[in-house]
Amino acid sequence: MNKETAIILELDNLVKYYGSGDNLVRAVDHTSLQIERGKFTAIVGRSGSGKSTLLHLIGGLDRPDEGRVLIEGKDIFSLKGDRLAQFRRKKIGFIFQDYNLIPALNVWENVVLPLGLDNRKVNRQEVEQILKKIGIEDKKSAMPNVLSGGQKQRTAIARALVTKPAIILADEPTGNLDSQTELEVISLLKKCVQDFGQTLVMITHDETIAQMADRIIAIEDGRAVN
Amino acid sequence: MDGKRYKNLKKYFCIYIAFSLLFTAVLYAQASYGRTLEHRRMLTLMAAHPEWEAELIALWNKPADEGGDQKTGTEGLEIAARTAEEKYGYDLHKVAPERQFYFFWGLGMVFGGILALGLMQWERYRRRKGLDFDETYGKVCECLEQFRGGNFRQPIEYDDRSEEWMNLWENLRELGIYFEGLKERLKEEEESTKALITDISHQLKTPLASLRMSHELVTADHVTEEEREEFQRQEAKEIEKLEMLLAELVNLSRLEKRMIQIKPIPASLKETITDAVSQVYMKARKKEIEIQVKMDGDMEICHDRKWTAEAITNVLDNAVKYSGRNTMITVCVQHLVNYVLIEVEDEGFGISTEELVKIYQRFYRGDEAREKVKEGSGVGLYLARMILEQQGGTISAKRRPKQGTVFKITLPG
Repeated sequence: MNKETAIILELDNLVKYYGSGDNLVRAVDHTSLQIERGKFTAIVGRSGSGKSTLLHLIGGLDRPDEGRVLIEGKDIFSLKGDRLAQFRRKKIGFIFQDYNLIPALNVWENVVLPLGLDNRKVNRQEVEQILKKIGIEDKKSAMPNVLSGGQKQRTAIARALVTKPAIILADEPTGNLDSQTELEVISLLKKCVQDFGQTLVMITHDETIAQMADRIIAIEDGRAVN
Repeated sequence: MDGKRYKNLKKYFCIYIAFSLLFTAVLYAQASYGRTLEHRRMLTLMAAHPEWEAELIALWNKPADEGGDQKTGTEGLEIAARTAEEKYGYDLHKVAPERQFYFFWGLGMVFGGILALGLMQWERYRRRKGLDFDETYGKVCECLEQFRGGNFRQPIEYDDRSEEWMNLWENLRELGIYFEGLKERLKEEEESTKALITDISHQLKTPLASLRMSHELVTADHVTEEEREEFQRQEAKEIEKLEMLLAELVNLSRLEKRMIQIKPIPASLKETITDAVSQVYMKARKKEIEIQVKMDGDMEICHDRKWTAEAITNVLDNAVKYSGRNTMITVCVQHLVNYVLIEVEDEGFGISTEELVKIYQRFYRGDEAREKVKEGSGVGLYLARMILEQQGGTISAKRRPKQGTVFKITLPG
């Protein structure tokens, strides 16, 4: 097995502490792990176990106190400022629990937003195809406030897919959805990732979702336990 | 290298000389023109004041170094000079360019030098940029050659000097990774075949061993007729089990080796589910288990009928196997937005949370399951998951609040 290319994402002895003294929180405590390309990895753990901090570090949204995050063998924190943001936008798509849609923009505008940030051309056909796949092609011009939770999350998924990133990071993507919509959104996400050959890393505390993953990593007190 | 340098030096020396000469000539010409203007003024002056003619001529012919020395001149010359200066803008200090030739020559040398140096720097800068390009271009070529040689890992340093190179790099890298992935998949397939053969032979060992034991006992001398019959019955049972196991393994290996293509085509989901239910119907009836199907009308979705039925049968078969007598199994079908949800609920002894994630592993059987139910190979759910995922669906299980398990299957609809 060739490790170098099978591993898309590697965390090397990652540390992130908050506070100090008695209030010291070891959010991520010397965590090392490897995530395989093209697989669906679920990160499970109770709330406060450091899952979200870990995901933020993986996504380069936050800097670690120690350790490295390697995406395709490249230490992302060795990149400076704009380059990191650029690299992040190219490589990683984010999906959050609260959707993070921009209320002033309609569905289409929200979806193509990441393309605009990098001055990339919008391939209308491709975006339409993604929207169709996700089942919101008839909601293109709707504003976020008239969408249901499931539709909002679909929009967020389309937005994450539109730049065709190698990795999709999802932080409790179905936390606000009912169990049927949840199942559907996860099925959809899983299928899209499978079709586009992407790697999905999802934080969840739901064991039903974890079952659908190819691999489960449990986080306890900032450490990964297998 | 040295020859080239010498050649370059010669080139720049020539450029320098050419520039110097050019500048000297230009400056000289400009000065001469200036002098001609002065002559004109002088002539105008002479025409206006014929009385000063002699002085003006003297002034004209006065050598440059004496130009400022007014005291040596006569009174008339002085007045003439002053009038010439004040009234006609005549510059007394202006000298014939011939006398200043070395000054122009020097100026030309300096200007020529500056220009030649500037040109040299510009060319050097251009060349360096070109070299940068050549270097990276060479690296790209090297990388592509390596690809051709079957090495898809990039040994070259990441180049993020500019956005363009970074993009090219990323694309090259992704291409390499893609190729590597293809290579990897071939290797993995080979490995999985080996693993499958090992697993299958392992699975066949146990029933075969008990069959052999029964057989040996039957053929032994000291057994009574009754015992012999009992062992023979046992033998028949083992053979039947082996046959079933073999059938499962054949399915499994064919699917795993992609010898069977799962082809989703639009078809009636109701028929598929009916097929699946009828497969386990007799078995359920023996245990007095009722199977209820809740479905509002039929729906046509894209799925592979035979294999989807097989997947649902496997789930139902488990439900029947691990449920007690006189219980109920409910199959509930619902259409969501893009998916169809099939729920299979039973009243069996359930699956522990820790085991929920393991039940889809090949040949996995839970401890409780192994203890309570003898038959089963641990292939069913593995197969079901593979079939469903190949069609873009999912399968997951949950403990029901009171008793039993609910399996949730989704299929794109």
